[in-house]
Amino acid sequence: MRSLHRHPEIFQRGFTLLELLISMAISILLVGIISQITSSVMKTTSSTSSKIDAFAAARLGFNLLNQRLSKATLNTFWAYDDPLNPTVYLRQSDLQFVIRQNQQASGYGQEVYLMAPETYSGSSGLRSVSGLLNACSFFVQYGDNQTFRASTETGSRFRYRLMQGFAPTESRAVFNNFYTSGSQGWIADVINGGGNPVTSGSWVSPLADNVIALLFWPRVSKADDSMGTRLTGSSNAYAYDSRSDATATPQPITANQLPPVVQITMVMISEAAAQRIDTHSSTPPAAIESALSGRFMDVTQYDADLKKMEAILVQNHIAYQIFTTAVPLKESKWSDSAQ
Amino acid sequence: MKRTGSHLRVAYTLIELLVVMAIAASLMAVMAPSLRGMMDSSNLSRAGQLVGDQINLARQIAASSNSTVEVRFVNLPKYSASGYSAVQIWGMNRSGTMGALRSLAVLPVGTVVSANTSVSPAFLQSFAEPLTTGSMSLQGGSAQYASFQIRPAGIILPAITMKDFCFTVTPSRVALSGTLPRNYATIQVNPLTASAFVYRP
Repeated sequence: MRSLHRHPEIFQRGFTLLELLISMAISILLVGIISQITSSVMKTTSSTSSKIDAFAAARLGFNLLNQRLSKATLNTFWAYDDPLNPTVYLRQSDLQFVIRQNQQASGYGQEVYLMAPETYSGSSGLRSVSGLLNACSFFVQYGDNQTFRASTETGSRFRYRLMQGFAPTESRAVFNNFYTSGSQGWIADVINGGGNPVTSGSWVSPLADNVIALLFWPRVSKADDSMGTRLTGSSNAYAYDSRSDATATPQPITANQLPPVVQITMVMISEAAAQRIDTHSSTPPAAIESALSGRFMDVTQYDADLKKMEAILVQNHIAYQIFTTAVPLKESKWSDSAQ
Repeated sequence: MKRTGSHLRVAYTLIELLVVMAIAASLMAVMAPSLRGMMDSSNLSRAGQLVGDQINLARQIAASSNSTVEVRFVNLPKYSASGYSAVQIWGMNRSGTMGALRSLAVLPVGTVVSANTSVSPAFLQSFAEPLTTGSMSLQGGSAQYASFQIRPAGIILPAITMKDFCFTVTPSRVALSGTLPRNYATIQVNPLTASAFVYRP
């Protein structure tokens, strides 16, 4: 009895069931808290990485667009205006380069159509031939992902997308229209959406999601043309057609020639914003439409249009990013000073 | 009385021990499936990311070296016979012969790129031009593989449409069942740009 009183710590050696239960409850609580923190960290990580992925995809699409555009060619040559009744030599080409206003909605910017030696063919025998030409297009489209979504995915995703049209070599006919003007032959197939590249389905594929506008501004080098209106005609439109007035005499400098420089501007919004304003239908979100409608039709309004668009995007709390670059076309063999 | 009371406090009784053990066991039993689900989920995420990264890396190698690069899905029976459990990038090496450009990237244990064509339609052999298949020597043995090629401009051969150009990573124990498991990662590749995207349900 005495000895026990002298060493009271002996009583403390064991835990009671109650103590054990309490400690377990606390540890379970701790595990719960830690797992909550872990899951929220994982959520943050995944949303950040998806943001990075989306940005990387846009970057990749933009780079690819620059690459393909810089490779555009027209293979220009000189020939009689009419082989049977020649009167004059004209600069001619079987190919075409077109920049025109977006056909789905003019506020989405422009579409570009070009030919480039990408050697893409659905036929394995043709692929060993180097320098085969492909017709190519780039534009912004609002729509669902029915035609290209993975077969394991269900449900439609309506988004603004940067799209690429890419037609294989063998589905195009050559040398059937060189002294006519207007869109014919290869480029007409691309513009009108004909052709069938691979086995089935559409040959238009998405390069990046959430690209809401894409502008192509054809211009002469900045030194020769500080306003950038030299090639845009009297209406200052973002437009170029290598075949327009191509049979007139004298030929305009743009006839069957590429523009020396194309300035590309791409506007992209964040996926988080796209999800927030998602209409889940073929009706595009009003916030974006109001930011874009009526814009990007006059090159002298370039800065003003972008500012107005940015103001509306900011007002609607839509995070956006603007990419811009000037692409010199390697195959363009003229400048204003040489004229 | 006080003495006996103190004696009771010093040690556990069998009943107390049994109660504690029962509680611990029931807790474990409750947590096990969700823990397993979490492990599966994080493994699938990593596996999907790994396959996507390898394809994106192959695209970059093709562009920077200006040569055609091959992406091989390798079937390693040692890991799982129910699909492809590794990816490797092949191409022209400096001596001008085809060889591995990178070491074998093995998927996390328990995950596999399903060879089932209802979830990985890219492996269908009924396309006009299917993926190339063959066997390669590996670690002293041989392994079956399926491959596609990425050209410098990002165009993929054989020509398969984007809709069908997808591979699904599943837990290997369900890889061959015809339906999708609850948890998976699908890697879709744009055949004209060779950019890979990972979808999770």
